Amino acid sequence: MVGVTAAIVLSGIVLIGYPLYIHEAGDGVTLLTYTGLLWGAIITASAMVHEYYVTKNEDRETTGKNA
Amino acid sequence: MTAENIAVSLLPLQNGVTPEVADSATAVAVVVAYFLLMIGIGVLFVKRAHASTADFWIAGGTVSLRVQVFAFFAAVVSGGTFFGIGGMAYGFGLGAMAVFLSAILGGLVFMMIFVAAPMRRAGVYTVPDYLKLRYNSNAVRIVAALLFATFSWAYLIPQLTAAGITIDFVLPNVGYGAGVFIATVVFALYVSVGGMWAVTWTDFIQGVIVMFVAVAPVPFIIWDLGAGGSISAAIANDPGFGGTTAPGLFLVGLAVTWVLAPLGLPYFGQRILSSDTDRVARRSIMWVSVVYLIVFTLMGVFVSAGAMAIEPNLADADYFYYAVLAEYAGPIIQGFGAAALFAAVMSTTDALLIALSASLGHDIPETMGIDLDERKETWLGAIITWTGAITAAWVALSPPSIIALMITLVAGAAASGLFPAMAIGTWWKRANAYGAIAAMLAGTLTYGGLLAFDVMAVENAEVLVSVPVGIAALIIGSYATARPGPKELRNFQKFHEKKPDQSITTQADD
Repeated sequence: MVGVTAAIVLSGIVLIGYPLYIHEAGDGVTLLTYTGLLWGAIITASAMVHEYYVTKNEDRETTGKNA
Repeated sequence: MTAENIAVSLLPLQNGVTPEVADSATAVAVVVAYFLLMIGIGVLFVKRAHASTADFWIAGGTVSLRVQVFAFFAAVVSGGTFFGIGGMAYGFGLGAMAVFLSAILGGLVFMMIFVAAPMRRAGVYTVPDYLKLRYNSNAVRIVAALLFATFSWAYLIPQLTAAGITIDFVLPNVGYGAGVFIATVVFALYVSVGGMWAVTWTDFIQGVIVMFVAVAPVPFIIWDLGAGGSISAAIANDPGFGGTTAPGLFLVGLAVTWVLAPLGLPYFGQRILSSDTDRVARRSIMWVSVVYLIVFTLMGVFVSAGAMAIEPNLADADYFYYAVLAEYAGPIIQGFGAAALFAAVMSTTDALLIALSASLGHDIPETMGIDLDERKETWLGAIITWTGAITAAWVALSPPSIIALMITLVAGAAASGLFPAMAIGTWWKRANAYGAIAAMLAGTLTYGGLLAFDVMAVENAEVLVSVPVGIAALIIGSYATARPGPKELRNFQKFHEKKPDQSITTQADD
């Protein structure tokens, strides 16, 4: 849980904060658009990793108790 | 499709143009058929919904994963997202859209890892009920119920605004105001008769519809303009479209709001409680985040780009989807598009109405010692549903802002008022009832005060102050008063016991 939370928060600070910090301007697709969507992909992947580990641990506990 | 048979025009309205449907009769027939289907589902579940209070408020806590994924997706989408994601791109550029979309995902995932399983394990009917068990305090339950009812009601306003815009698109002669009231009557009707059972099954159908219809225009846009061409054409019409024209502090506030808000938004909690098990509650949110990312990245990028390429001068950014439908689709597809918009709006509105009526019809009477039998409680819930819907519709006649900003406003209040007590309190043993009440009041009042006196220089930045104030109030209030007693800690322990795939009997009335 701590790892997933850290991954989401830190990636958010880097991927949203940095493009806003450098405050680019232009008439094309800018860095914030790419990094913003990348942040979404990282969040979703983190959710899947978290669920995988929680389920694995729960099942292991159940199997251990039943054995 | 030729310009002749599209027969849809972008008519000038006030400061811009607003799209209208090609063949109103056909599109209306599709929408009416959809309304009848939803009301029919409500009627189908009358008996089951009124069998017990658990059935009315949380569908007996038995909703399976497959149904819950789409029902949850529909509830998350809402009129705010359906219009809001693309509307944000149309109004503020793709960069703002990307931040908005990803922050909502972050909030969903935080809800999944922090509160979904503990809350479901509590086996209660409502979120204020859960907070009462956590803090062993009726006062916490009353304050939480009042906040939940207030936020649910306020969140109804942008949803009904979206419904009014949709009816204005399909039936321009009826107009926006009458549209709001027609939608209100349909929503309140099936919620009040079918309870959470009707809400769950209509949400399931609506989730499937929304998923497909949201991305339906994408192939047409790519076929016509090309994948990169649509974005280039949009940038040609608005040079800021590829990035963002929004201030940085606005985007930071937007991100913080939506990362924290789902932990405090009433209708998400109600859906978690209806899950069959704690694992279903968690896993449904995980799959929702996957579907949400794919569907709304495609929609947010290509449909808003298509709209900007077609018409850069829409009267309201929220019209972007209809502008694309008007250009590329015939009346039947336009009718389905309108029905999908209703689906998005209805799925959140009905969940909000349930959360509103549960807070006022279940939590407050029970806390005050008013003994209502199950029949009286469900009928009180129905009356509250109608009252809340009609009063929100009245306010929605003159919506104060675009939909994305309205939902963010309410989400900011939920994040400020409920996040510390809900999320931190679920995991921090030392948190007690005094700290929770202090956090709810301090967060909400700070947020309200900053808004009322227009203190912040940039919109959406209020949460950057009010959320830390709420967290500080939780910590100071808890440390300044006695440690939680054994009963509070017993419940706390129970919420964190991992019992995989174990159905939990609801015990709200303990």
